Amino acid sequence: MSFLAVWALAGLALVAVPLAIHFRRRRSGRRVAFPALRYLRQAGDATARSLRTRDLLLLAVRVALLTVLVAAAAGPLIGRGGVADHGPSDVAIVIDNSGSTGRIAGDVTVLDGLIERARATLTAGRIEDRFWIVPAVGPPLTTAAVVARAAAALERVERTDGAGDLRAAVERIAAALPSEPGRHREIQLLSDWQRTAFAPAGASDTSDGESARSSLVDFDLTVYRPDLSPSDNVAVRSLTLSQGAMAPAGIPQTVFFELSSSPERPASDPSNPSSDESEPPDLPVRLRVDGRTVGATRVSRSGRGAVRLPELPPGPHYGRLEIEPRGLRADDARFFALMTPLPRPVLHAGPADGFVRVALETLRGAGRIGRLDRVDSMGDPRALVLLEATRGVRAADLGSQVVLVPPADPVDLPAFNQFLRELQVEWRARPDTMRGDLWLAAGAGDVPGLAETRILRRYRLEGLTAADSVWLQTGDGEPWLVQTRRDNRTLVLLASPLVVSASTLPASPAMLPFVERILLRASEADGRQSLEVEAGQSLSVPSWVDSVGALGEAMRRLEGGAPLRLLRAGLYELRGEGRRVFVAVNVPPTESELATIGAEELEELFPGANVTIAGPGERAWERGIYRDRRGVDVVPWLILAAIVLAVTESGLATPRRASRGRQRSN
Amino acid sequence: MNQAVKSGLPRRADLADPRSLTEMGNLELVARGAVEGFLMGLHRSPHRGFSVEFAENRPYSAGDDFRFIDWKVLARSDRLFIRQFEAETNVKAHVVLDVSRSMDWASDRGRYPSKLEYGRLLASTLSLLLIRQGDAAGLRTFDDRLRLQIRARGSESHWRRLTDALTAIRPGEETDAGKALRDLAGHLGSRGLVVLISDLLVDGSGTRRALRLLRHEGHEVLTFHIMDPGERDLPSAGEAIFFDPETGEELATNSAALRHEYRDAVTSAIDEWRRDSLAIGAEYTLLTTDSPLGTALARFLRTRRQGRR
Repeated sequence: MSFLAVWALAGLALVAVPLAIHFRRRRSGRRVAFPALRYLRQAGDATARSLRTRDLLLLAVRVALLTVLVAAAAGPLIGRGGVADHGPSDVAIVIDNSGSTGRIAGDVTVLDGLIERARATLTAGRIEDRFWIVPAVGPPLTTAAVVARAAAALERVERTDGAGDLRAAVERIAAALPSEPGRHREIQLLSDWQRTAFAPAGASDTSDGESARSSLVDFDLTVYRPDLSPSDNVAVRSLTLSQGAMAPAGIPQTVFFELSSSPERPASDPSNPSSDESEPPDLPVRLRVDGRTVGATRVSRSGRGAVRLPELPPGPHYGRLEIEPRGLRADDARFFALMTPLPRPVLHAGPADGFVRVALETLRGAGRIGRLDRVDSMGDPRALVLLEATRGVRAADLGSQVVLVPPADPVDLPAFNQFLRELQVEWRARPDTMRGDLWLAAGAGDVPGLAETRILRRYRLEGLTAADSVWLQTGDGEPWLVQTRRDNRTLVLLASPLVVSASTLPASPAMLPFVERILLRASEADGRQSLEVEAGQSLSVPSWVDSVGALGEAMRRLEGGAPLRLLRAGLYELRGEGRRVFVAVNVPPTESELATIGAEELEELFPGANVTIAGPGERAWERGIYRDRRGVDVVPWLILAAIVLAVTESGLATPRRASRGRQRSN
Repeated sequence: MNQAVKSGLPRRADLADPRSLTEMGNLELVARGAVEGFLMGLHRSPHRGFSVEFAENRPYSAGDDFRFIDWKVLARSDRLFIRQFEAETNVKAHVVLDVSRSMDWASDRGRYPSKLEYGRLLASTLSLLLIRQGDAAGLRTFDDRLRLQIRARGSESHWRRLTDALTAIRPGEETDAGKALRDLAGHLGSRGLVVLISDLLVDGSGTRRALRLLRHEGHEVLTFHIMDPGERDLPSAGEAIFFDPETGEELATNSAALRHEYRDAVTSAIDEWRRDSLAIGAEYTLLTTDSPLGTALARFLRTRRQGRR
């Protein structure tokens, strides 16, 4: 039992008032002359006992009345109160709005059910409470808001097709919630318990993670457990273009794809209602490009397949591979965008028998780069220039796209640096002493086999600025492949010569795709960004882009160069300066895995926190939230008791009605 | 127009509010007015003519009782005459007035006269009525013993003497009605009518024994029990200390809580007085100080008529 205003209990001293009156009135009072005192005495003798009893009863009622009124003023709270009977609380509501919550459960989506529970939290909120609305995908919608603002923010929670990291979200908001005396902190996590949402791929413990988890100690974390039946889901898990998204026009392309089934189950499972014996073992798959169906095939639920792309004209294209709707809708199709540029001729200055020259000729023979007879000189705007040697080349004669490979002999470095100076760039290549071999790190995974390349020798690149972008680094963090744009010219610079004494790359299978990639990069044909991103991930928008929009929908203005976060799967179009490019946004493969996490496993994810699992249903949820319950407010009952006591006191203190009635009849 | 009416008294002073009568101050005038008003009303009432002595005839008028038509005159003259009778004139009446301190009390002096004022007016009025009817009237007052004693006479000048004596009466001390009435019984000679006017806040058993003695000696006894309305129904004084002005006794109580029981006690006492009076052959009449004098006079005449039969 506790009191809202315990100081009000001092009012119990008022109980002394009726006691004093009761005992004092016997010794004082008005004197009234009354000759018929004998009759009064007779009447008093007849009723003395009942009067004494009534007086004592009256005294008891008055004392009780005062006690009840004082108690009501003190605001007693008894036992564990209802959901609204809680102390001032700071409540963070973390809502899983990832792609998996977009599936239908009953008549609504899982997300709608979670939002409904969050509304119950806000409905039980008090004026002194503060709320944080934190979607798993996307920025917080409101912080330290009162109920009304939080309710408005809650209505802005929208379904995404991205993947959330609920553990990280909880840890971040736990660190952000202020710690103030007298205020209870509580995190409410509303999720579909998708296993991958709690332990997403690539998540790793860091020092920051340790710090965030330490802030969870003694935190109240209430996790809602929805009533979800196992969901049968088939997704287009991956899609690969055989020649990549930037294959020049005329190169035959094949779309390779893989389906995944969740949960994994045997082909014939009688316990699973969705396991239909009559269901055909293969699922129909359609391929649509530029709005037309261009191919179809059938594969098993978790099978792989391939569909050949027809020859596409030069320019940007878009498409999707789709299956029949099943389970989660967003992953029933996988989108892709591709660019089919005209093959560009590449002018090469360097050893005629070098690896680079061989690679270029191979690419030219395959039609991936253009023929040399199409250009006149290195200054031709249609040509790409790849320089392994700068002797005899005038910087002023170069075109707009140049790839620079440093000399194999360090003796030629001063001339190379002088050439860089003539190109109006601050880059300089300096001899460097490496401790053992190094591996290529960041970005190396973009080119098959490049991550296995060992760097044996390199120059240290100096003079890099913030405007320069580093595409590849060595394992010690030094830049190895950088790119910049100066005076309408794109320059790409390597830190190692492409010779076998400098790296294993020239002799490796990665050489050919690597050369093709740096040429594309220099020509900006790859747009400096991937043409496919996962929903929820940031996309670095090229500076020429000024508007963005889903395909077939209205475009909206966009600040070029700003990061763009697209939350729904689909095809988007970027426009600007008369150019356009398509971007495919797909559901992260982890969102298609609908397996759920176990309760014990979930609790272990939040060490130190007081984890309460509540649900399913609103009642169970309300029992689990607002852990700082104050007890039942009994003031209304005390007021009712006070009214009853007041009426009783009035009846005892005034002449009885029946007595008056008899007097009238007499 | 008689003197009483000229003085501002109401035409029927016997029916007037007692408080307004006592406020006029002149006891003689008020008593006379009350009696004249009462007799005027009596002329038209069935109470007229309780005596058996024939006096004269008068012409019949509408409303007269057929029983008193003189049939002989009708047979002789073929005209209707009513036979009128005269009252007896040889009764000695002794008005005995309680003047103890308890009589000098009124619950609300703005609305009611004190019991003593009312008793004084009643005594004067009865005396005049008796004398008007040819009887003799005397006066005794008492508190703890007999105080004033005026023998019975039948003249109006004697009545004025009685009235003067009544006017001069002051409240006495404690009451001992039994002793006073026993003393009275020793002083009275021939049989007569004893009219006791008292609030009966007295020693009940002693008083009853004295009344029985008076009856035993052949006197008619008529008791007027005077009560203040505030004594019949306990006033709402709330929590207070009540004290008897006569004895000084005190009782602290809440009048509101005792009203029902108090009324029961008063009713029981009245019933006891009425029952005991009946048992000894005495008449008992309860009057409250807000009762018009006419009520008392009517009760008196009815009692007298019943006594003669």
